Amino acid sequence: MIYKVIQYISTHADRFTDALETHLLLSGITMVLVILLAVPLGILCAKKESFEAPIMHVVNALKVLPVLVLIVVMLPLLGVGFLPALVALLLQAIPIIVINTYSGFKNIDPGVLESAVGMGLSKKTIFWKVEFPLAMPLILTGIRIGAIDVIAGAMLASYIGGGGLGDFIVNGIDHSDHVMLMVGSIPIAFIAVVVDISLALVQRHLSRYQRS
Amino acid sequence: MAVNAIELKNVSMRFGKDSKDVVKNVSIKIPENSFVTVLGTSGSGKTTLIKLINRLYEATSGEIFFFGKNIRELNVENYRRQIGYVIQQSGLFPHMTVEQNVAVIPKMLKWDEKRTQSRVDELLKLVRLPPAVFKNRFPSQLSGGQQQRVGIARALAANPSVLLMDEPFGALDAITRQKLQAEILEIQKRFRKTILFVTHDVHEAFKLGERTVIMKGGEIQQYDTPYNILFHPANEFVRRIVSSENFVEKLRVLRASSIVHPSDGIEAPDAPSVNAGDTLLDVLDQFLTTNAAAVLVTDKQGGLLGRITWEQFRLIPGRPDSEIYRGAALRAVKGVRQG
Repeated sequence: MIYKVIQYISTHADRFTDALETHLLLSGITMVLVILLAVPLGILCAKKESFEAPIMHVVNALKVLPVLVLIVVMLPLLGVGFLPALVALLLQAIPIIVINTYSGFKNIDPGVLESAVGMGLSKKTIFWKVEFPLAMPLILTGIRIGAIDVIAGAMLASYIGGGGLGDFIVNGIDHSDHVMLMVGSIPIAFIAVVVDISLALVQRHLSRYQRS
Repeated sequence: MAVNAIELKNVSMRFGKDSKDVVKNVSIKIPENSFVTVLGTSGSGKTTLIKLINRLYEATSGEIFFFGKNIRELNVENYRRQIGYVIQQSGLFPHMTVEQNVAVIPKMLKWDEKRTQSRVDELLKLVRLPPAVFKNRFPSQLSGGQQQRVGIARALAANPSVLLMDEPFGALDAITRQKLQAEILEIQKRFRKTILFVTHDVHEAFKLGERTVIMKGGEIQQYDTPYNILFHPANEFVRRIVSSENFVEKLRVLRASSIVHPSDGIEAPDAPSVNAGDTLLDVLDQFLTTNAAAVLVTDKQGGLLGRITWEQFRLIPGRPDSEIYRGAALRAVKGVRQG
């Protein structure tokens, strides 16, 4: 079976690298955008009480929608292709990162903040040198979970013509072709594992102070 | 005239518009280089009082002066950097090493690397944490006592003239607490700091403070020397708060320096002596075991500060003056020593 998978990939190298590229691009762009969007939103929630309830409600509602639903909903709104897939994945990954950023900031020991203010640090210094580094381990956990969801979820982009490794899987399902299924799913699993481990290492480094 | 490091004039503070005052019309002067403790139960407003001084809270009414300047007119961050602040939970930055924690303010004041380094080393030695061992540790790798030591070093980093300490030793075990109490006393004397120290521990308040503020319901009940508070309580509340201390306990918390009188220069050559930091119990011990007429009080270097005569113990109200008492006191002292 594995042999057949490798054989397929080597005979259809162009098609495979195209799909792989699209998949990585789709997941990568999604993650960059989602971080740029969700982290500030989470900080806003933690800092400004008036934003807390509305944003958290939307985010929690979003969290319960399966990504397949999001992708299908994009069809009438944005048509088919890369963009609607990207928007759907974005919406899928936002909640976990907003929630984790929010908790990261909210969980900081009030005594630490009190002494930071009391010793005369400016708001800006406290934010960048104290709050942000202390919230970072939890934010990274959110990013880790979000990234895995996006890499796996990007497979569904294939249903609305978004391309990516999902094309092989959808094809494989349609034709009961197990080799095709594997050509799509093994690389997805591999990418997910690699990303997860790398982020775990970064996280470990950033939270080394927690281990005594 | 002594300079006042901190002065509060009719300061009141309430949190909500309709709530009652947490601090009520407090006026107080803290002279430069003095060690003042603030004693009160929870909810007495003692922590609020301290936070009003470093402007973590703003007074609802009244004025606060820092070396004569109204603190509202000072840049709040610059002002806070002139005041060391130590709290019970240590408040160390958990993601920074000991060295980075202590260097926070020097870095902010843009000291060069060399000056910052030597200051960090100097301070860690001062709080008895060998730099080579502790510099690169994270707070989670320290015991509670060590964390508080770093907290003190951090507060001293930019050499502030005033230290505000909010129950800094409240969470420590008795032995560690006693060690740190002795060290903060020494630091205060050596570097001539003005310290305002909040505690709910009567013993700690009297052991450390040259003067103690007793608070209840946001109001000052008495601001006086430990000696006067113990033996001349201003009201029923103060009497109650110190009444748990029996006579021997009272002597145990008072320092010899609290009732020392100037020497008339004709001391007996064999007169026993105690250190200024020793307690009145030590003084009594000397009287009871030597039969001397006066006990000399010396400073750390052995210089004569003055003396305490047996007669002065008679000033203490409620003490029966007889040989029977002397015997009873001796047994009590021995009991305390052994216990």
